[in-house]
This record gives sequence, structure tokens and C-alpha cells, in this order.
Amino acid sequence: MTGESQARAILRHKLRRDLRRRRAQILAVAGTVLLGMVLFTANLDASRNLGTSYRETYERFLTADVWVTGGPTDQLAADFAATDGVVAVETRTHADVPMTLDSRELVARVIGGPADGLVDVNQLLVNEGRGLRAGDGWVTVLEKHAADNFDLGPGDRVEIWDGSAWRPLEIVGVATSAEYLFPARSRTEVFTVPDEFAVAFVPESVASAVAPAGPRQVVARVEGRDPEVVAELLRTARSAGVSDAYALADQPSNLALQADVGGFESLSYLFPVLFLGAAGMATYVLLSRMIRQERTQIGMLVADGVTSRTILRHYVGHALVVSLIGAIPGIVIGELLGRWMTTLYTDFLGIPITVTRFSWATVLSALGFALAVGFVSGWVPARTAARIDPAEAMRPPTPTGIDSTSWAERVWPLTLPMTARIVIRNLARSPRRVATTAVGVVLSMVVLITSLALNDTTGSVIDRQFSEIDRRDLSVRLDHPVTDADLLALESLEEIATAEPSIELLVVISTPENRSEQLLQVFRADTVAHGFPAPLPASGIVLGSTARETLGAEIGDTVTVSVPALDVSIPVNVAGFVAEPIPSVSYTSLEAWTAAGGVPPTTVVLTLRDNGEHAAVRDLLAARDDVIAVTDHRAMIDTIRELLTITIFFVGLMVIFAVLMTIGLMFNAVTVALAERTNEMATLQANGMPRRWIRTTVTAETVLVVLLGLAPGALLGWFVAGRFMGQFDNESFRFDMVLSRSSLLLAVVLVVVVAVVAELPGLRRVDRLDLPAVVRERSV
Amino acid sequence: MTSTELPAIETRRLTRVYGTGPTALRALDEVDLIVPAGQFVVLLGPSGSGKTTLLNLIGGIDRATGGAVIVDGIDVGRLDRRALTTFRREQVSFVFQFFNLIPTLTAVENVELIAGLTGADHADATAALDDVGLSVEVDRFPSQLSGGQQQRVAIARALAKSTPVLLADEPTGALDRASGEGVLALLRRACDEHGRTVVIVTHDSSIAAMADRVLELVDGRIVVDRSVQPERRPR
Repeated sequence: MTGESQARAILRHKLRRDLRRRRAQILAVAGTVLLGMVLFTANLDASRNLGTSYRETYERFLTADVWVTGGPTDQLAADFAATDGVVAVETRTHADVPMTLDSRELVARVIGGPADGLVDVNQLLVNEGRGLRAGDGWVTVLEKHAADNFDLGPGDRVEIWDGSAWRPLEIVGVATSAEYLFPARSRTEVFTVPDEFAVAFVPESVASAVAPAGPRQVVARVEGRDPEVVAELLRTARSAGVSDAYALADQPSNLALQADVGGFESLSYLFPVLFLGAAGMATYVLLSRMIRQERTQIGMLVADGVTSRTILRHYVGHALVVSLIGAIPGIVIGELLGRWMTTLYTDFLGIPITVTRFSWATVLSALGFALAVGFVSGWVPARTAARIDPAEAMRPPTPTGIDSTSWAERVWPLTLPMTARIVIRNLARSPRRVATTAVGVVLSMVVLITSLALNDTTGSVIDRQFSEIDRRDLSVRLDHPVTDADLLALESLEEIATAEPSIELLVVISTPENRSEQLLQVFRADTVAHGFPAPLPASGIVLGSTARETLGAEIGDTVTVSVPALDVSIPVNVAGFVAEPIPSVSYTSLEAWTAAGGVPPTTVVLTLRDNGEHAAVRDLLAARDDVIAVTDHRAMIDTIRELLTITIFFVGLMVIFAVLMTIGLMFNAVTVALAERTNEMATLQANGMPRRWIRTTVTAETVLVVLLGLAPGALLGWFVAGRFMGQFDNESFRFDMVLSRSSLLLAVVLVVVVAVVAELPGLRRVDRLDLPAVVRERSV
Repeated sequence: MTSTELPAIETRRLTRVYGTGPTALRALDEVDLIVPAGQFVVLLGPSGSGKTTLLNLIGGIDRATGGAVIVDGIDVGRLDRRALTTFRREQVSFVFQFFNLIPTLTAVENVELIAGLTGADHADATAALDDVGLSVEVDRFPSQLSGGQQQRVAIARALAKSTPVLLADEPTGALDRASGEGVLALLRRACDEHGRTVVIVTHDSSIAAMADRVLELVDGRIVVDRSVQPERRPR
């Protein structure tokens, strides 16, 4: 064995003993690496598996690539079938029809199936009973969400409105449909109340009987989901004047879920990177301190001929080992957590196929990431160690302090008390440690603020949309045009505050260059059912954000409003714009609608008095003979809030992780700070300085460092949260970032409290100092 | 017996054992000692003889395994944590071998911080530094002072803290001969002019010549206890 390799072997022993001796600090750093690794591995794996599960579901059920509604469907189906790259084409009736499920009237989506029962596009996963067969009569396969909500199954009966009477329909099966993984009625009505929406798959003969006017739909599947073929089909459809044509990317359920999947993917990188950054800094602080403490030993080694390369390897190795101590269990836990998260997400999103594949790519990238963090954070202090001048290192101790008063003292006109001077100068004494600790605080704040902003923003968006903007409590669809007598009759009910006629229908608003699908809502100009910034104008249309952006229209421009369901198109002036959380809704006044020759309203929107029990009123109205359907808008808020439980779960998890990260960082920083000053502490104690004074100065230092990091942390957190929330923006919902004062305060208090708590073990060690041993130590 | 008649330091069968079992080390072995107030005592002995242990037990920064240490009538071993802090503050001052100055405080602040515990103020701290010949260096930080200057700051710190007992552990160990002699002269003055009891640990026998009394420890026991005649002290 050469002298150098012998030195390395001995240094390996030293490394093992160092790890044992500093186990509390090593564990704090390794714990931060572990958190980063758990998040990285779990999120990356879950994100990848979720994406695979999602895609696999679409593949397995032969989900369409193109949906076309209205227009010459038979001709289009023939054209599509003749197009190269198209694998399968089907036509079907796709209509919204009144149904009664478990005595509850609602407007259900009825979708016709092929007469032979063999589906080549949009197959169903039958969960119970059977699928549709050739020769089936008045039967249905009920979509799973509705079956679960109404507790219906094979053998049960529902009723369907055939235009003149209710007809019984027997449920023969319950199925999951890739088109309705998220039960969105349309792109503009993504959120539906479970009690008010159901999808029923029926034989085409039944569908065409209950909705003879359609609309009909063409669905087509393309080889390899080739985007060029998809684009060609859409061009063909639109040039044929269809009312609606979209690709899989714009399919309502997919659109809603893509936002979740996309948001989840951004999370899988953002938070782990923050945690690993924190771990890197903690490693840096630990190693810097260690090298300073071992200055004399390093000097001795160098003086005796050990190469600087060996010294460098030793300390970089130390950082790598610490990283690995955290990384290996972190990756294992992350893998397990990733599987659980995948199942949690697929269950929550209703994705029927859950793929949890082990991924070497994830494990290796996590390991590589951890080693990179260890290497980068260990390199700088290790290089300092390798460059130590042996003569300098072995001289009698020189106090490592400062050689001038702090700028704060020079600026401050009065003499600061001794305690304040010590606190301030101790911060000036180790600017790097202060900076790294402050950066740790910044990272903790970013994680906390981003998590809390996610919670605040979703809450605020819902409050704004459903309290300030959409004030409807209930909507009642009548079987005849609304009359003043209807309104008076409804308003005469004790619980009802206002009753107004209204219309709501899907429209396409277009300019010669662009088109935007919107939900058009028609209200009285002086409506109280919707909060507009100004009363609705007597003529023209008020565009929602997506229409404004897509069309690039200005006030006064003329746009064409097409109503596919009524097969009409009319030119309308743009009268204004609204910027609402649900951006795909445009508005016009009843006066303007009537003047343009629109159909009379059959819907009445209701607001209830404060004490009005909406569920009771809903049931009361549903029981009336002239009522086809009742929509409970308040129940929709509950549905949306329920959908947000996973967000709250995620926020809670992130807050816990951020608290753990802050504990790890602060524990490490304070332990190092105290270790650097053990001798001073002991001297003070030996001279009779009360422990309380020592604790106060250390705590004051910690709080000051934390305060240094709070403001930049809050600002950076604000920025990151804004970018993060932008990931969730889509056609269905706009998330303008909101951070409440109480959340900001909570983040600040959490960080400060956690920092103070994290220093307790270090302070306890000061209390237990071996005074005789410490005061004789040479190091200062 | 009135308090003025009490010995400054008394130890009764003072014992300190480190560790347990067969590897236990008996650093002090039933040491009996009485040091009258105002005496300048030098503790001599080879490394590991128990000198520093005795000093630490007298100063209340270590706990005896057996016996008692009584300083100015206070049984140090019976003090709880809070009382021990008060004892250290009011009864003893330390001069450490490696100065142990607070690196972020200037010379005068280092003195003021500790001396302030017994009521000294900034002027007292400056005067103490003046006494040790550091009137110019009062506002310098430890890193800007030489080793001898740092040790003089440490002594000024101990002197300014007006306690009856001053304990010094190898106060000249890290200094050159000239600086070392200067330091010892300062300690002698503290004894002669302020009536303070001074106990110095050293293994430099030449320092013994400055003492009133020399104690020599070997293996935790006092093997020599002799007085030094005033006329034989160097001037």
C-alpha cells in the first residue's frame, strides 16, 4: 500500500468516526436530503404513472381523436372513413334529454350506441351487468358517476322524456367511459352537480326516439393519434358548417383532467428542487464548519505530504456520503409513496386503469440528483480545505472574528447595548452561514407561500365565482316559455327572494378569422342573479375572457353568434368584456336577445332569502308538473369544494414538509453557530454569565437571521406561487393568484416558531457543556 | 469566627475521579488545603498531576467526586445551578491559558462584559486595560492583538471583575518570556494592592519565585507545600 493510499484508508476511518460524532447534524442534513428525495421520487413516479394510466385508459377504450357535432353527419362520416390514417368512424345521437333517476328529474346526456352493439370508438368499461347488445330495446348502460350517486345498478329502472311522455328505461349495466372520466357536460360547463347530470348510453334507436332532432355526432379514431390527420378531419368538419368540432385535447373531460395532470407534473419538479436546494445548503454549512474546526489536522496532513487531491476527495466524499444517507431511504420511501399517490390520484380522478411501474429512470435520476447536490455543496468547502497553508493552519489560534464594528453600529447614532452588539457582530462574523441560513428561510417561505397560495387562490376563486358573480341559487326549466305569472307565482313562495327569466345555451362566437365556444347566458339588464360590474347593455354581447382573447375583438366590433342547437347564426356587436374565474361564459341582456329574435326563455333563475333552504325549495319545485328540471347551483359549490379536498390534502402535506425542512435547516445552522462558539459560551458560563443571557443572544441571532430571509422569501414565494398557479389556468377556470394576509402571517409565524424550536437541542447542549474541557480547548 | 477570619479557600479531602471501573482516573486524591485571604499561591506539578482539576473545582466549573471545596465560607459542592452561577460571578475570576476572548467584542467590551457582572462600568474596564498597559488598544478586536496583548486583556477582564479570588490556568503558557513576566507582575499586583487571593497553575518552576506559597502536586496529591520569603521574591 502506498503512503497516499494508506492515508486514504485512514481518512476513511476518520470519515466513519466523523459521521458518528456529528450524527445529530448529519441526520439533520440527511433528513433534508431525504425529504427532497421522497418528494422527487414520489412526485416523478406518480406523475409518470398517472400520465401512463391516463393514456392507457384512452388507448384501451379506443377513445376517439375527433368529435364533430351537427352538420351533415352521414356525409362527414363517409368522408372521414375515406381519409387515410382514420381507423374507425361512428355516428351517434348525442343529446341532452330530461330523465328521472331515483325520483330526481334532471337533464341527462343520452348517447346512442351502434345497432349491432359493437363499438369501435369510445368503448365502455362495464363495471356491473352488461354492455349494449344488438336487438336491445328500451334499456341503458348508466355511466358510473350517476350510478354511484343515485345508487342504481342493473335491474333498476329510470325514466326518460321522449318529448311527450316519460318512458321507462331498464338499466342493464354500469360502465366507466373515458369520455366522462370527469363528468363535464361541456367545455363551458365543466363542473356539474352529481344530482343534476347523468350520462346514459342507450341503443341508437332509443336515442333517436327521444331526441329525433339530434344533435348527431361523428366520432373518429386516427392511427397513432396522428395530429396532421386530426387537423385535416377538423378542417373538413368545420368547412362543412358543423356546430362543434374538437380534438381529444379539447374534449371536455380530458380538458378538465389535463389541468390537474399538468399541474401535478409541475409540482413534481418545483418542490423537490426547492428541498434539494435546501439540502445542498445544509451540507455546505456543515462541511464548512467541519473544515474550519479541522484546520489544524488538515495543516498537519498537508505538512506531512498528503496531497491536496486526497484532502479534496475526503471532504467531497463526506458530502456525498451524507447525501446518500438521506437519498437511499428517501428514494425507497419515495417509490412506495409514489405508488400510493398514483392510486390516490387515479381513484380521485376516476381513472379506471392504474399503472404503477417501477422506473429505473426515476431511481437513477433521483440518485444522480442527490449525488450532484452532495458534490456541488461539498466541493467549495473541500477545495478550501485542500488549499490550506499548513504553516498557517498550525500556528497558535487566531481568533476568528471580525476586525471592525458592524455597519449597523456605525449607522446607529446611539451606542447599542452590549447584548445587541454581540448579536449583530456574531451575524457579521459568519456572513456565509448567515446567508445560507437566510436562503434556507427563503426556501421554506417559498414552499409555505406556494402551498398556502394554492389553498387561498382556489378558495378565493370559488368565493368570487359563486358568491360575488354567480348569485343564482336555483334554476328551474319549465316546459313552456316563462310568463310573468310564472315569475309572480315563484316569487310568492316564502323562501324565494327573486325570480328572473333566463336562457343558457352553448354558442360559437366567431369572427372571419377565429372562433370561440362559449356558454351564453341571457339575463335581464338589471339582474340580481349575476354580479356584473355594470348593468348589461340593451344591445350587443359582453364577451368572456377566452372569447376576448381568441377573437381579439374590441368594443364595437361585430361578431357572429351561432347557436348549434337552434341552427341559427346572428351578427352581434361587442358591447363589453368581463374577466371572471370561469372565462368561457359570455352574456347578453334579455332585451338584446329578444330584439335579435331569440327564442323566449324557458328557464327561471332564482335567488333565495337568507333563511331559504335550497334543498327543500329544490324538491318542492321539482315536484311541479310544469317543471322539467331544477338545477341547484349551491350544490355545485359543494361539489367543487369536494373536488378541492385533494388540493387541501396536498397543501397540508407541503406545509408539513416545509416545517420539517425548516427544522432541519435551522437545527443545522444553529448547531453550527453554537459549535463555533462553544469556547465563548463556556468562558461566559465560567465567569458567571447567566444561561438565560446566553439563550437570549442565541435566540436573538436566530430570529434576526430568520427575519433577514422572510421578506425576500415572501417576495420570491409570491412570484413562484403566481407562476405555479398559472399552470392550472385553462379554458374552464382562471386562477389569479391570491395570498391572504392570514396565510402570509401563518407562513411567517411558522418559520419563526419552527426556527426557535429547532435551536432548542443546540441550547440544551450549551447548558450541558463540559466547562473544564472546553475552556482548555485551543480552538476559538 | 467572623467572615474576615475565614480562609479564602479550603478543601477537605477533595477528590475527583474521572470515569468508572478499572479505567477510572483519580485526578485528585483527598486533597486538604487552606489558603488564607490575600495569598499568592502557585500550583506546580507535571502534566496530569491534578493542578487544573483543583483550579476548576475551586472555580466551580467542575464537580468534586468526594470531599468539599469551600470558598469564602461557601461550600461550592452544595450549590445548585443558579447559586453556582452567582458564585462564579461574585467570588471568582478566571484567566485561561488560551485567553478565551470573545472574538466579536473589542478589548474594552470583552472586559466590560464580564466585569459588568460585578457592577464595573465602561470606565472601570478602560482603567483595567490601562493598568495592563493597553490604553491604546482598547477598541481593537482580539484578531488585531498579539498573543501577549490578548492575555493582558484576559487579565484585565479578571482584574476588573472585583472578586476575592482570582484563578489563572497557565497564564503565561502561550507567551514569550517578557510577556509572561509582565503578566505575572500584574497578578502579583492584584494580590498585593487589592488583597485578592491568587491561585496560579503552572509547570514553570521559575514562576514559583513570585509566590507567597508553592504547592506541588503529583498524582493528585499535594507533595510539597512551602512558603516563599518576601525578600526572596524578584522585584
